[in-house]
Amino acid sequence: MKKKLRVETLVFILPALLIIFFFMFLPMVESFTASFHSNTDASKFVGLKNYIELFKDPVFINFESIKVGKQPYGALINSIIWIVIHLPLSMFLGLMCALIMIRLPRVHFLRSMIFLGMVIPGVITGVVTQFLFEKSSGMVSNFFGMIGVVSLYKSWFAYADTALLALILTSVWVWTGYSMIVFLSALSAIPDSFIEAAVLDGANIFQVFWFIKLPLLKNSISTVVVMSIINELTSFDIVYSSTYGGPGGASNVLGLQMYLESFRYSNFGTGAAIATVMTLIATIPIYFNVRNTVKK
Amino acid sequence: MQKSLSKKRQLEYNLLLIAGITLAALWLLPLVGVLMASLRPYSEIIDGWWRFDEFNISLKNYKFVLFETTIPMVRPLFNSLFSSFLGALIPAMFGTMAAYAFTRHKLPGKMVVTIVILCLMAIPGQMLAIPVFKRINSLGLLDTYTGVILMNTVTSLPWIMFFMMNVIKSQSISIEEAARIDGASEYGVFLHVVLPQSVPALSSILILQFVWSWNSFFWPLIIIFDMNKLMATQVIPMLRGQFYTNWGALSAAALLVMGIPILVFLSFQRTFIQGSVGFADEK
Repeated sequence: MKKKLRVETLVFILPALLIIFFFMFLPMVESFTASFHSNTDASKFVGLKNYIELFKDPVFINFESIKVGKQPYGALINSIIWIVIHLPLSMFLGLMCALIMIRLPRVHFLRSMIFLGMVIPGVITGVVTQFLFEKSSGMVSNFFGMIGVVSLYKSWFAYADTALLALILTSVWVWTGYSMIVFLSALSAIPDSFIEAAVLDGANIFQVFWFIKLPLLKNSISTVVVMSIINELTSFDIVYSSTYGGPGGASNVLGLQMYLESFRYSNFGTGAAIATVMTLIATIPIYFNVRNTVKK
Repeated sequence: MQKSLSKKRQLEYNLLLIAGITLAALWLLPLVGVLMASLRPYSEIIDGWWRFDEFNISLKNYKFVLFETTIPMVRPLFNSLFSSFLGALIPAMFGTMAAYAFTRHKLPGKMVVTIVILCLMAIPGQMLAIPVFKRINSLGLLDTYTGVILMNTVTSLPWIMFFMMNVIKSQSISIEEAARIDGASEYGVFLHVVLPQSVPALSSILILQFVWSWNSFFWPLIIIFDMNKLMATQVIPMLRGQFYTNWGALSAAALLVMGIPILVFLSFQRTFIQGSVGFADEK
């Protein structure tokens, strides 16, 4: 009886396990080892050489430019800038949208309109970036022209100081929808009686938000933080289809540099080293994600 | 007193409604712009699509990108449709089977399995790219739809398993046991008890994964080179010239490629939104 059950269990789990083992688990280990092997001869162990060269490569991190405070800072710094600007902005906007939309349950399609950006392919988001920030036909650059900010009335992605920002802002446009729906699902779980009781005790809307809603949103905030960091760290599609890292590497990010090194220049060792750095950064949010989920 | 309170509430609601509509309209504007650029001649939108001094609508750009360019879009759209369908169905099937065994069968280290799945869900695709490329090449799957479908399966299995483990856990075990007492085999229990109960969850997985497979770009870019086998997302960067971009054609192509996911989303809004929250947040 027990043995029979075992065979059936294997039938159920083997397809998934084999696929995950050969195309996820093993590749992870292989990437890690490849990062310690030579670019030209994959069987030659070179220790930390790929990593050392990487940190000497201005395309990856450009210490000279950082000192001067002018792009290109390099892919690593650009990816970090991306997360630092993107995360608070998209989370704040998402929370704002959620607090408004939770009061408008009868016009459900309004939330769908804000979520629409999350539904479309990343390569299209790249097209949207170009379309928003083009000088003559772009809405954003024309808006700045209209209100008299001449320095931003230009094709953002053609200039080193604004190219990355254009990508980040479009990405905020996309991810606001995600943080909105996560916050909405948490807000709708708060019983009305909590809020009514507080209002009866004389709390104003800011107090209701600060003392009742915000503490109950803690889990959602960590979900949004983790998911956004992982996605922004690996962003590739939007950059590839709009600026391709340009001009002069000013909007280069880790995902793009990893692709170029590996699949354009065939430097598999360097590519694997970049991927390993990305994974190392990702372990921080992954750790928090695992801890939160297991605690529940 | 009562009346003024309800009046105040009405005013508050109206203000919120205006804020909500403004935000939604603002978020929709970029896509409206793409739509306008795809429908109107370039000369009209070059100084901004929001100028309507001249207003002519034609489907010329769509005809151009669908049939007349160097890479007619009809074929890539069909390729994407076909491989996204299988790229959702296959992982949904394997993922549900595994989730059932992990939830209901006696297996050691369930906690470990959950933790491993959670980690795999968040591993950057770049970490897999080089070895996967080599393996797919050595299996002879480079430049095949099978390769793309395989990678859609690989990358989605972890979240589908995670999702389905939660769904099956929440289902009552007593029906399964009753079926077993009536002499049903394990496969019978899975096919006739677990699967029918999971239909709502499975349909939301299929909807989400279809769209995500359709939207995927990194793996097709690495796997497919043959002009006849391109996925729809791959065509978009190719339409962008280095020095000159035909905005009309580019926006028409963009609209065709995002049209399918948008249609799927609009038809299943609630399922889609609940699923997107659920796979990350469900207990």
